[in-house]
Amino acid sequence: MISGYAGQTLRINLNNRQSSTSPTPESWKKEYLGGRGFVARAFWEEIKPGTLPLGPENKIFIAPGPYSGQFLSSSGKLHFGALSPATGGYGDSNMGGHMSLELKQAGIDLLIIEGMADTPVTIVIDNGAVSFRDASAYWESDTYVSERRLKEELGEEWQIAVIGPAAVHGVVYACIQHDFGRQAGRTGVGTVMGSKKVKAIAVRGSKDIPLANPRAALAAGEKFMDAVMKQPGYTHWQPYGTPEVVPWASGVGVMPTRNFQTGQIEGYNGLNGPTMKEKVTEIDKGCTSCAIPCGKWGPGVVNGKVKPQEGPEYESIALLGSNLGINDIQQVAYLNGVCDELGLDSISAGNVVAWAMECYEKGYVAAEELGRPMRFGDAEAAAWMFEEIAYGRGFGKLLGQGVKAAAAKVGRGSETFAMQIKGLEISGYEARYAPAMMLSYMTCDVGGHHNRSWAVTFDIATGRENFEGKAERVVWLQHVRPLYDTLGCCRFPWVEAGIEPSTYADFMEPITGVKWTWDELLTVSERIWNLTRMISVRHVPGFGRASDLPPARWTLEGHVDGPTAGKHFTPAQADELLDRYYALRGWDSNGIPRAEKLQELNLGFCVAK
Amino acid sequence: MYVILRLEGHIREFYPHLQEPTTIFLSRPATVAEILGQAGIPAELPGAVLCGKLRVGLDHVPEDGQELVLLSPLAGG
Repeated sequence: MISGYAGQTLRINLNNRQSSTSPTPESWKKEYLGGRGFVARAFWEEIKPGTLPLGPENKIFIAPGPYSGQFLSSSGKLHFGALSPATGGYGDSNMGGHMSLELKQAGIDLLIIEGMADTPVTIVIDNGAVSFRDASAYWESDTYVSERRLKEELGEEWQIAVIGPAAVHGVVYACIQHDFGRQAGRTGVGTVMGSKKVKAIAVRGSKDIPLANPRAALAAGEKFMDAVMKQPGYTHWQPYGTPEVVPWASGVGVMPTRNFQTGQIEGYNGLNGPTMKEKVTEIDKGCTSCAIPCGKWGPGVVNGKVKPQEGPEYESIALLGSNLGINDIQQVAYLNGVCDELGLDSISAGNVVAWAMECYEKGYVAAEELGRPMRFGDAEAAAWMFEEIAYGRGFGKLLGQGVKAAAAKVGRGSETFAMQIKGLEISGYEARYAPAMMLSYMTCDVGGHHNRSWAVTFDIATGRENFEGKAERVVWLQHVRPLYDTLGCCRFPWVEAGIEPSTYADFMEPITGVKWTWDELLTVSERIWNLTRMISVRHVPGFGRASDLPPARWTLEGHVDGPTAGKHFTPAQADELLDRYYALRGWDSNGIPRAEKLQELNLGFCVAK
Repeated sequence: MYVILRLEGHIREFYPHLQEPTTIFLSRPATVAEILGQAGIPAELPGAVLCGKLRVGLDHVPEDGQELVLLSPLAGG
């Protein structure tokens, strides 16, 4: 038996409020490792074609990885997945905090939540034993209030994931929040939880997790921790966290500004790490067993109103700051706090409201229809609109269905600047003149998301006009970066502190008892990548090349100013990038994995009969 | 005169010849931007440049024998 796993899949059926367990399949440990791999494999097995994202047949999959909490710094990651209400295809999101280890210590490698409760519930998992608590009294409460209430009722040692009003009201980009500021933010996994009337999941565990060689695992973990903390990158980045990248992002013209009209924001130092440390941050906050506490807790302020919150991280600064035309970090922190308490994905929410602001400024939507004027730079208006969205009021109800749906309804050419791919709003990197990054967004399995391949630096290092090697880099990153989500780890020790990713193969033997090479781990990641592609092929009618195209703005307009003013690639060049990428992947010209590629990756079960 | 150039984080992957700290010989005092140009690294690539453990700008002129550390930009949140 392979070590490092808790041993059980826990299935909770909300229809009859029953639960059952089954052993974690040994073959899955070998072929999918855990985390994102278990989520994708279970998704294929359990979600049948024709399932509606908000119907009772959709399921939520939650999985820690084999490394989660196992002596390894920055191993506090937990993976969530479901058929996405934002895209209709494969959806997942990854969250830090303390819940991954707690789930493993409760005996769980994979949690499957199915069916639909008839009244609001909180699922309570105590060392693997499942019970349900009535959540009616706080069903509509915000995330902070709900999590605090459950901590007071159950005890501080419980780890809690909770949804807010946005999920309750069916906003398709609602998130799941944990630890007062960590989110599984993307693809609407919170919306699915809300559709099932699950307000919260509370977990407590104290079981042992068998490791193949605990002493060797501890020694390897100590060595790793020591290496991380000696890196100059650690010393420089840790005090400031991800906001410290703001001057760089704006300086090279990749910081989305005023709905991606340009890539730099005037007064960007009002959003950078030192300014945030001075004006917002009160304490650092980290995840389970992390040497790099990148979370920053402190108050946000708009017009004298104060809101405590965690963050904002770079992504929230980009989408709630520059993309809304705001360069005041206290205002961005306030908006971040609003999104967090409402349970809105701050990336999608900022993207959607920026689109509404551009519509207003261009005269496509009047103030009367919006409910008030919505100009770039108006934080008060943005905060107001986030509430309208979360509670499904007025124009906010339309915005709650995502920017693609809103633009389809408004029309008048607003689709051109609806910044989404596959229905998911694009995150915090303006990429129209960064071909590897643009291709990363285009081919990301969940839609316009940065974290599967972050390739801006490669574009700069190798030349932005140059297409050579770009598709190769994207494919490699799409295997390396999601592998962290599969193992249950954070990428910061690599990206931030400079630890070689191949180092991670060395931990497999002491933890699992099986020796793995780095290349073998990458093959697992390639298998998962093809599987998630096939899931969307299965669930999204007409899924293929057209699903991978960038928003029209990126191939029709250059930046209005900044270091890359006027520059963009053409639709034909976007097609050329896809041709190169599909050829490398072994996919056909429509972007569908070929049968022989699927067979090669032991995904024969995905081949159409 | 010379400086030691050290790349940290993922940008090291782009420069196989700069995997280890590398001595860059200079014919005269030079700015960070000029030194990066001599090493074939775009000046806008590093997320931050440290000299003597302090963050410096591209117009900074390091002293003879000092180490320049190029930090990778980070992504996330």
